[in-house]
Parts: sequence; C-alpha cells; structure tokens
Amino acid sequence: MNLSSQEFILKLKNRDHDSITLLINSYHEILIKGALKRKLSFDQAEEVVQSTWSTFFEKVENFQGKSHIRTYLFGIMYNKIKETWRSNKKYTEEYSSEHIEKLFNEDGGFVQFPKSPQEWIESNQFIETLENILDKLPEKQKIAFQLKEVDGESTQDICNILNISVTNLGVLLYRAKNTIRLKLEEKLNE
Amino acid sequence: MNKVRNLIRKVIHDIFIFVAPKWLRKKILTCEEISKLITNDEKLTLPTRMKINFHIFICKCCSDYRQQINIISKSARRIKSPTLTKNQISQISSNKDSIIQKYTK
Repeated sequence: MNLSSQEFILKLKNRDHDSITLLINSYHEILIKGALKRKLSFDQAEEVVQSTWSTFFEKVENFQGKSHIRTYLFGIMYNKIKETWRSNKKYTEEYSSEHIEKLFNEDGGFVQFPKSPQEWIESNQFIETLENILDKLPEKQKIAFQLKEVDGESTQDICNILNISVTNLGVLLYRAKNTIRLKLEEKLNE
Repeated sequence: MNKVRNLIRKVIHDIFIFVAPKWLRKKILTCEEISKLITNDEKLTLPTRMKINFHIFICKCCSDYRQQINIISKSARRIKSPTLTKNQISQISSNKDSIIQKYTK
C-alpha cells in the first residue's frame, strides 16, 4: 500500500486503526534513529518523536501527498530538533560564517591559500575532530551537511525536508564545507 | 615528488599568466568560481569539468582545496550512527503501542 496516497491520508484523517498502526510501525523507529543521529540523547529523541507524531496528526489535513510521507515526517521532526537544540546550552555554541565572505579577494583569488591536507589523512583523530566541528556549525548548515554527506540523501529529498530551494541548499553546503575545512586547518595543520 | 610537481605547476602557471592573451585569460574561471563548482556537487557539463581540470592543473590552491573537500566528504560517510541497546529497543516498541492507542479513536 502506498503510504503517501490520498486514500491512505483520508484513512488517517478518519483515524482508521489499521492505517495508523501501519504508519507508526513503519516510521517510529526510523524517526528515533534519525533523531539520535542528530546527537540527541535517547530521552530527548523520544520526546522529539512524540511531539512529531502529535503535530503530524494535528496537521494531517494539510498533507497534499506531493512529497513522500517520510519526507513530510522528517521535515516536522527536524523543526522539533532545532527547537531542542536552541533550548539546550550544549548545542548553542556556533561558529560564525563571517570569514566565508572574506575567503577571496576582488580578483577571485584565495586570500589565504588552502593548506595541503596531507596531515589530515595521517591524523588518528580525524573523524573525531570532524564530528566535533560538525557539532558547532550553525543549525541549518549542520542539518544540510549531515543529510547530504553523512546520510547520503538525494538533493531533492533534502530540499523537501528542509523546505528550501536547490540554490539555497548549495549555499548552505558551501558555507558548511568551508567552515569545516578552515577549522580543520586550524586544528590539524600546526 | 610533490615539490617537483608544485614547481612545474608554478612554472606553467606563471608562463600562462604572462603569455596568454587577454581574451583567453578571461575565459579561465577564478579560484572563487572553481571553489563553488567543486563544493556544489551538482552534475557538471563536460566543458565546465574541462575548465575546472585545467584550472586545477595549474593552480595549487584549488588542487589542495579539492583534496580537502574530497577528504571531508569521504570521512563524513564514515561517521557511525549510534546503535540502540536491547533495553531501548523494547522501550521503543512499548511506546509505539501507546502512541497508536493515543491517536486511534
């Protein structure tokens, strides 16, 4: 059965027992795993998913079936995750993106030359360092980078989940990657 | 080995900058444009790819830049997702039932 079809949505609206069971059985665990990947604790993840379901059932009328129901659910969940991040001090420390405007001079050349990443490959804690940096990216950049590079989602899906245009996503990824590489240079090329 | 390559690269770069006529120089993308094209992993057309490769052939900055971005992407894929303990899995399934109960009426 197609979970994104109009028929199925109609059944959900009428609170049909079997449809709701099917939906929750298919997506509850996936949502929790997705929330855990965003560095939430298990309790926080459960809370986020619970409120995702409640928002979903409040707004199920608005779901048009244009995108996949999974995308719709994840879209709701990422908004909840952002709220959790904001209310928790642990996640609010952010790198600024100012330096990215000053990467290039007027002729379009590098102001500060990128360093050779030879030492990065040799570093034992490379992935750890990368994860630490990732934690401190601004929230939009963080989610975009994680969805694209860590989870390997397709561009179209990410745009639907985050409700942004393709160009917008490109800008977010550009900023995220440049912040990451500058911080890596700072920490590893010494 | 790397040093030799960089030296050759610099020589070609300088020759190109001083000898190439203006109209040809204008056709070369700047480092800024290259960096945006590399980071944006949209599908690129063959002419654009050739332009990028030519630029990287003579520009050490962008060659290092591309290596950095590639390493970041590759390593990001190796970040492990957290695993659930048995306790947590049973907690999830019991919660599932209560959620189903909550929304069916």
